[in-house]
Amino acid sequence: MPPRPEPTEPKQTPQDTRQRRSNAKRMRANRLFQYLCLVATAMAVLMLIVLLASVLTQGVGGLNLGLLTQGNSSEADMAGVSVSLIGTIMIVAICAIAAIPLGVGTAILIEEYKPRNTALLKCHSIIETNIRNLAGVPSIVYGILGASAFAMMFGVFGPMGESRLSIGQSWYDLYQGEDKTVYYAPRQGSLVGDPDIVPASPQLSLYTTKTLNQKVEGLTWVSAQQIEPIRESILKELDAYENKLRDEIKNQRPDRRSPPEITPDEAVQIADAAIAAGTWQSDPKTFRTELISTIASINGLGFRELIAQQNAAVALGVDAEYRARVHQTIMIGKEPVRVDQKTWYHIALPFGRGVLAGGLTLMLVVLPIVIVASQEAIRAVPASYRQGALALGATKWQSVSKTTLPAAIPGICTGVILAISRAMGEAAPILVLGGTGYVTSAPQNLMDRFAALPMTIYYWSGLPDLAFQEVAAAGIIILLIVLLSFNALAIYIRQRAARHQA
Amino acid sequence: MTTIAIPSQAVSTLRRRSTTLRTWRERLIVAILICCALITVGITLGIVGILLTETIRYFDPAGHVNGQGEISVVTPSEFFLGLQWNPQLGKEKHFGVWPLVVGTFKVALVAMCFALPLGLIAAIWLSEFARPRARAIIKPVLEVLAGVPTVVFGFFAITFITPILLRWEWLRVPVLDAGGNPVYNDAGQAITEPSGLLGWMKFDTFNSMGAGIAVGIMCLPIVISLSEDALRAVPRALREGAYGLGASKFEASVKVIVPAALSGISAAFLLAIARAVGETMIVALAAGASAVKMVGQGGAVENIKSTLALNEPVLPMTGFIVKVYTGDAAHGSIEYYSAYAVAATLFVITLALTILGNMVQRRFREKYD
Repeated sequence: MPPRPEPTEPKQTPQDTRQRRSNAKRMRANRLFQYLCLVATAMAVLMLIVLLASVLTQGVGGLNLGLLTQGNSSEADMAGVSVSLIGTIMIVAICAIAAIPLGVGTAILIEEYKPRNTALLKCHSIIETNIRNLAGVPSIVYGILGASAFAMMFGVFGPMGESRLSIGQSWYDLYQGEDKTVYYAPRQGSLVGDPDIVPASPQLSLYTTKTLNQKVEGLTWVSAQQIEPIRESILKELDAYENKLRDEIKNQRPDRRSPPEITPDEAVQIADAAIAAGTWQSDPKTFRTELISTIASINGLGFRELIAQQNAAVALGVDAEYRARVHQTIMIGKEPVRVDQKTWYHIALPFGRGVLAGGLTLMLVVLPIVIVASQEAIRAVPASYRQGALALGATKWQSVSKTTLPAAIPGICTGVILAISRAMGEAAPILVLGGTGYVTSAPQNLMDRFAALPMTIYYWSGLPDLAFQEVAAAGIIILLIVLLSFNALAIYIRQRAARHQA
Repeated sequence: MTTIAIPSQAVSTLRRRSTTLRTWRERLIVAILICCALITVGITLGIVGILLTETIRYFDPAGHVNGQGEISVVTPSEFFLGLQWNPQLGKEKHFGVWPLVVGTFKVALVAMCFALPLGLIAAIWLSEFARPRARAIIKPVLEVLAGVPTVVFGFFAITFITPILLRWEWLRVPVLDAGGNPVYNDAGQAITEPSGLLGWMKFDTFNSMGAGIAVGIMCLPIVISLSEDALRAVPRALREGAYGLGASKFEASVKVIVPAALSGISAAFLLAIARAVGETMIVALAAGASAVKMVGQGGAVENIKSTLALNEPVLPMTGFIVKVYTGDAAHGSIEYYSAYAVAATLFVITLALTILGNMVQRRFREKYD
């Protein structure tokens, strides 16, 4: 066989060199770009790590049992998240209970019940676009809507402080007896629209700032019949006291004529003398102020000028004349002090800045998320399920509720859990509802004020005292732990559903 | 199986009765579902209605009376065209909304300069270069970052980012006294203080850059996940065609895939901007409480510098609303109504951005199948 010819090398033309060089440049650019992408992604991951590390290092020192058991306080070492945690749990629960039926129902309607009529089809697409646009609205706008719609109810049921319709709220009258006992009896007559009355005696005022819900010591319950003789005796004693005052005033004047004209200084002197001799042993400063106004009323002097000269009275409030008149009547015993007691099922319209309004406002924020997640879940169910059910003679609703929905439940669950996580972290709507978020005790009923954990963290971060930064970081750690456990739950459900269907 | 003989008349009556009941039940259920769906429409109508009525009341020609008995009247032209915002400053009250809008967009601009390039490049890595195992680790990490509450980002901004901006220890500048001369201490050495981050920009405690960076970190997961979805939605045929023609991965990504996914990526950008504009808690903590001074004592150059400055406090629209609701604004006072007017402006801006994003995503989506 003839020898095989040597394979000749291809000629190295200038075009080949140029091609090889530009290839090398392209490969270099490719590798550089790959590194750039990797660096960018690493930076994104780094942000999270830096964030978590910074929060952890700042907050780990503040993590102790006291954080979980104590409530809000003005000192950093006494501050805790218990009140905020309970508030957050309550509003998130209400939010979930309200959002799940609404969201899943809307998603079923949009996905399963597509109309064929062109006009209805337009409505259908409007609803769908509307939901997509609602997902981008800032949460503070939802807070404003919730405050107007749920807390104030557009002013239809009256102002927020005085609720026109209320269930589970009972009113009592407080009387201070002669042996310093305080009696309370159910209120006679209706109370709709009546404002609160500030009592004269600080003893009685102590009882009203803590309502009967918070167990106050020293109160004696009497029935409506039993209160009458007690009331009679109080009135008699106070009448005697008033007569004593009138006699004192008359005796001070040399000409013994009545009614005498007393200057403010003389009224003050008479009051001091009466205090020294009197039996009504409440806080001397308050009592003195009311006594002066009483003398002035007996005498006919104008309240406003007299009280304006006594700084203690000015500090009591703006409507001094009204309060002075009220003080007078209470001291004389004509009107008792009103207290209320709210049961756990107390509901009032309008809802006010309570837990129910907060939960419903959060529902507004998470509703688009629930709807979109449920839509995706229902869309992911194979059409064969529905078609099979319909072929077997099921009605539309039966096919949805018995085949599509159970198959879509894992996806819906995941969406709901993600929505709940979002709701737990929202502070803006709660801010519009609640203001500063400083609440001293956990909510007792649905209308009570509350504090949410993100709101408390915001409040603590903004305080000038730097010790609160550590407490805020510890609160963030607790919030993140709760959120991460929810996210882990969502991932677990998703994996179990994937395994089920696979 | 035994068949039971039922007279045909009975059968027909049976069937008719249960069918009627079933039909009514079906209709009732559809009615309930329609009510649920109409509530969502009701929410939008509620937002629009409340913001509109309160804004109209805000522009009441009779004016609002404050505690001291002064009457302030705000006209729509002053609100929408005015360049000063100090509603509480003594005699001079100005109610122009532009400082608030400029403040919002300053923070959003810093956030987007930070998040958009970083997010897009990270999305390209995740969709083109990443191995499935790396994706399985990084996607949950980004989901966790997306789920972190915004208060945490605000806290991070004031405890980590702003101190870095304020006290960049590696760059010290001499302290200057009034005349511009360096101050010397007793030993004769010039006293230095930490300069700002860039050496020539001295940051205040509240500034728009720190808040902007935190908002950017918050928007990063949105940009990454939406861009990555858009990139993965590009059909394989395009990719394989590009590789088949000899493109490297870089060239295929930049010249073929990203342009093909441009609609989705633009939608992602617009939605991220909408999210950044509507962000509340971060700016409430880190951005400050005084509005941008767009019109001041100095000339036009000073005004432009103070408008664009990144080291001064800004009051964005959401920050102002927070200030009103955590302050002592009385019900029915002018601050209370200003909050509604500013919220209406904010709602319109974010709605426009969201609608634009959805429209871009749907209209310009290239159909490849």
